[in-house]
Amino acid sequence: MTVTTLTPGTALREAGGFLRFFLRELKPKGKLLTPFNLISVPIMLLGVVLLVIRFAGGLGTITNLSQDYPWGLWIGFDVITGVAFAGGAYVVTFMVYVLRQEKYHPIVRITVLNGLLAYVFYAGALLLDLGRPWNVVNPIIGNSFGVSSVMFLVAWHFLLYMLAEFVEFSPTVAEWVGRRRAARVLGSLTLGATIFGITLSTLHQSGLGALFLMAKSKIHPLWYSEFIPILFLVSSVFAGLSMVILEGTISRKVFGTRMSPVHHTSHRGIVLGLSRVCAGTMFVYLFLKALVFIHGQQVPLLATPLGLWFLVEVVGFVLAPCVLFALAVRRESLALGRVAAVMTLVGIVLNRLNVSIVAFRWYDPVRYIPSWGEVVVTLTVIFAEIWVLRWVVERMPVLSEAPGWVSVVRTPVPATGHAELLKEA
Amino acid sequence: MPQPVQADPFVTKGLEYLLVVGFLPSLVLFWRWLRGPAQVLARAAAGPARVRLGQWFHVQPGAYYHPGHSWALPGEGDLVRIGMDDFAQKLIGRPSRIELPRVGDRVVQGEGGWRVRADSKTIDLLSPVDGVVVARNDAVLDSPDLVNQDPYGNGWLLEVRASRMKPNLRTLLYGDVARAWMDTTLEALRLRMSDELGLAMQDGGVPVSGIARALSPDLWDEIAADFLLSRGAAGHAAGGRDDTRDASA
Repeated sequence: MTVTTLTPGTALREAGGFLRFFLRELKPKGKLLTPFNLISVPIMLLGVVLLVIRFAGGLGTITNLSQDYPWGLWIGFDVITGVAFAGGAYVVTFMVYVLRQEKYHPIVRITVLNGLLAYVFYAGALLLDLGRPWNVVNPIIGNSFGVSSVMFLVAWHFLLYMLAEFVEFSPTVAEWVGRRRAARVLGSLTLGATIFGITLSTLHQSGLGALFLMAKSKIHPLWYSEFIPILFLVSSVFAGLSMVILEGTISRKVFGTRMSPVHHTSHRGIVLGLSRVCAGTMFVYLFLKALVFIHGQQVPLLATPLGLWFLVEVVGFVLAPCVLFALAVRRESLALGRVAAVMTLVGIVLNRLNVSIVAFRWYDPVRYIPSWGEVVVTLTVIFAEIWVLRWVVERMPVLSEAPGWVSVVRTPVPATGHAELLKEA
Repeated sequence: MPQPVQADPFVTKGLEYLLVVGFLPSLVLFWRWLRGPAQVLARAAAGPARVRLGQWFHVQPGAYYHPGHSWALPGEGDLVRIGMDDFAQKLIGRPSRIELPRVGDRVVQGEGGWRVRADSKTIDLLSPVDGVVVARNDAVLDSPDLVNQDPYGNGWLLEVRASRMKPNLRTLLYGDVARAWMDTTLEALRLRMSDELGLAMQDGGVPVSGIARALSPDLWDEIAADFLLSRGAAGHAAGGRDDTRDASA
């Protein structure tokens, strides 16, 4: 065995080699003039210009936010909804690493990557909304921790969860740069990081709901409840899994050539399995909603415009997709599962925006409506996340198989050939 | 700002208890229903006109089958005619070219015997027996789709003088065992099928030609290689590659 000692010279050479490798990898792969690029690039450029204006002139320059409506689209959609969509990471890692449901193993990496990027970009979008964004470090460094605020919990949970997800994803990065020892060491940290991440997720998914507990008098009674934290947590399960179904379907089309055959062939079973979990979780969520509804004696409120809007959300985008998920499982129909996933995601957007914007100060004669600048910046954040996701997936072994030198624990391959079948027979 | 109405929280308690009590058994029933056998399978099992699964892929009586979906039909003496079975041809679809070994080349049971090209990809198929090639079907070189039209007849590929006929045949699948194996094959295929194939099988329809391509347009050759057990198999007897004729030309 040869032992190499790290001298300043070798370290410099290593760093230089990595830099060259990284610069090579930065070059775009594939066609540049795609419909997605043609749409996203101008919007992102406009978004950057708007952000420069926002940081130079303050929030009022491009947003419709005010003292009465301090939280708008950037919080309601980017942070609150984006974090719910990222819930798939903690649910899938729980199913694979804790419940040992190995059939979901092929989607762990892409789901964790999706979760990590969602937190970095969507929770990162919080900085855009802070009047003095540099103060965001205060709860971390102790310059007034603010321990009596739910914000303290959310800040620490976001920070720690992003670190945990980065540790979960780091073996993929090590495999990409060809660092065998680092891949082994980081791989051994995965289980610990996963369990830590699951704990944090359950806490901050509900913590985001808890933020609204202090606004009892400002939120319409159909959406306000002491159970908001629990409803946010439960709904993050099917929100995250629906995003996994949608993202998996798109990945299969877009990154089909990079996807391992195991991933390709297990797609059907994974979608149907996740559909089943979604249907079950939505059933529980509907029960909780019914309980809150009855407990709040809210029947008379249904005969109002907001009451009808509430029914659209609950019946049209929770009950209906729940039924569709169940039918997808019973009929083994991927198409139904995908339709249900899209409807669920729409329902989650509606719910989070209803709680944070539509039902917030619902009695005011003049309501907050997002400016076009806020919409463009939100789209910029979404497109930026997709660009980074695409860059990573096209280079690192996220969907493709790990390099041959990786000594991974073999996962059962679903019915790949007759040798296994004959053995079973 | 409207002041929240302080409703009596005990008014609805009875209803809430009933809801909770009703929810628990309904959740159990709902979950059991979700985990039950899928309707498509239940219908297929209960239907009066249930089609035997193996009937989707024709099994030729008298032929011996290699698990890599090649067949061997013993002829006079130690001569054996070999080809690819109905499942293999439906899995791959219409080939653009078939590469056969030359007369005099040796083939080995379980190793690459010939190659099929389709859609610019190459699939190796395994030889069912050991032996020396004594004849090959030149008609297939000119019209590769003969293997689709008549895989056990005019679509035969090679005639081989078997060097270990008896031990070779003992390891192959025959008769009821072959039919049961074909059933298992179809079940394995069904597990892999996604909705891209749609009505082809789940409603009892006959599988389409080029099933692997329908399953995955980009990686179909790897799926086919999985089913044909030829992943990593070298084209052992593809020495006759030079004198093959491309049907698409």
